[in-house]
Amino acid sequence: MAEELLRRIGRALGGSGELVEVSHVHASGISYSNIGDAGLEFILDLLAEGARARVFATFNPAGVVLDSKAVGEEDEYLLRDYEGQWRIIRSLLAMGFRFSATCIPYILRRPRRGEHLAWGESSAAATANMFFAAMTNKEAGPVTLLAAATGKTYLAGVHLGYPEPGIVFEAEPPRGIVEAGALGALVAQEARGTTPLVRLDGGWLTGLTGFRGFAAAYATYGPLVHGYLESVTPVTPRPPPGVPRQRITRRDLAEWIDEHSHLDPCSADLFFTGCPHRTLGEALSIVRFVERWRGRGFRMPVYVAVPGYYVSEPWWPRVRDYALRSGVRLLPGTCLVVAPLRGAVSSIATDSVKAAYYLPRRHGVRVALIGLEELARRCRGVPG
Amino acid sequence: MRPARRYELRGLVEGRARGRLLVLHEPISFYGDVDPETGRYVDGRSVAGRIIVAPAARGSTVGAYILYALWKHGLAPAGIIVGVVDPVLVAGAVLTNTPLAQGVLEGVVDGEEAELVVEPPRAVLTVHPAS
Repeated sequence: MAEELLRRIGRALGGSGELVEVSHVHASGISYSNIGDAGLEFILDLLAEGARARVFATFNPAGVVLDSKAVGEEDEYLLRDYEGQWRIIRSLLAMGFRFSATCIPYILRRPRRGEHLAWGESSAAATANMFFAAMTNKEAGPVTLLAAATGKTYLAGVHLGYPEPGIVFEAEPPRGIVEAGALGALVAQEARGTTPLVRLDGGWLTGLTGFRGFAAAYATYGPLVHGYLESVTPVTPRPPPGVPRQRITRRDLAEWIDEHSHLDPCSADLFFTGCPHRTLGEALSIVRFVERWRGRGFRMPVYVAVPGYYVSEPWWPRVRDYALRSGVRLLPGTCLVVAPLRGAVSSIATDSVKAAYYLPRRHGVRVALIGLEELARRCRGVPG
Repeated sequence: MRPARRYELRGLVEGRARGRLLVLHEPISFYGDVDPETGRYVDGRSVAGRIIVAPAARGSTVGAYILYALWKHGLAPAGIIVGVVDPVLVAGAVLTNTPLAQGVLEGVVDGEEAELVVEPPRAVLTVHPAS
């Protein structure tokens, strides 16, 4: 039944109707605030029909914080729909999904080169293809559940091989996560659906942390989750002769960031990072940084979205409380984009280009794009 | 009485539909644009039993769930025709057995009676003008 549905979807998308085995499924569209009872019913129906995950399966962040002690009283909105959300998570766990609630599934299982995956989160799919050289399309929410139940997905798109680059960008390497995001957005906007190859003078400087920002922005501003970033993507072909070339300078990045900031960052209600999620190591260095700058008059509350499965780790309560003492809220298993934010917060400073795209559209929030270090330097002494 | 008009389209998800056309001038995202409880589009019109004609589909992976909810509540559209397809819409149409075709329709009028027959890779829409 599930296989037949996948074949039909594949055929409708121009495939032959063949399926391909995948080694890791990542389900998207599981936030109760997004899918509501409609999505919950679909999941319950599948479970009732006996669907069980046949391969390693993880799922995306939820619409609530998965530990009510992680936030303060003023953050009540991050606990809305707690019951509905847990019903979705319990159903996924009953289906055999790994307790994950994160948009960076590659930290739970590192994709291998050339391996087929069925991932529903666009930023993760772009990272799988462009950083790990695995193969996945951007799958619709229900398709990921069918893929989990069968261990397969339809053979079409990226599973048939990466297309040749159709446009080359020669870029100055971005410094920091905000510039990396701006580069991803600019490449997607300028490529207009053509597969891009990005060449960097001097290589990629911001590691997987910056790459996540690049990938998330790239998949937000364009339709593709594949492409080539030279010195990062393991398999980067030579561009065919005669393809158009375009230059992107750091000045272009700065202008893009400026155009997409609509707020004096020091007047924001809070600073948000973690779209995509931050790892434990990154979260701890953020907490240490904020702790230092609290002594120098930086008062803005800082929210860091982290994977949901952290709440079941033995070290979690200590890390959570250590962060809270410095005015940093770690948000396990959610983020401010998928949480029911509307009305609770009106302005946010963030280092995530993806979050800066969705926050105004989904929640009517005004945003400023800025890295935490620059924010702390600029806004010390501003009353919190 | 004017004769019926015939449109040849690209067929994506098979099936037959009969109903009045619901012509939209904006790309449709079932997530956000259609209320899964009432079946109403943002402008208040019901999508239930209608053949939706839209320039494109867009938006979040959640759209497929909204179509599923409409179907479970008996409020699903009878068929869908879009100019530009999106994988989320295809998944939703397959899950709910909603006939889906691709094509740009010139000169169709909201509310006209129509019949959509999708047999991939072809589809035919026959429009019976209101007399």
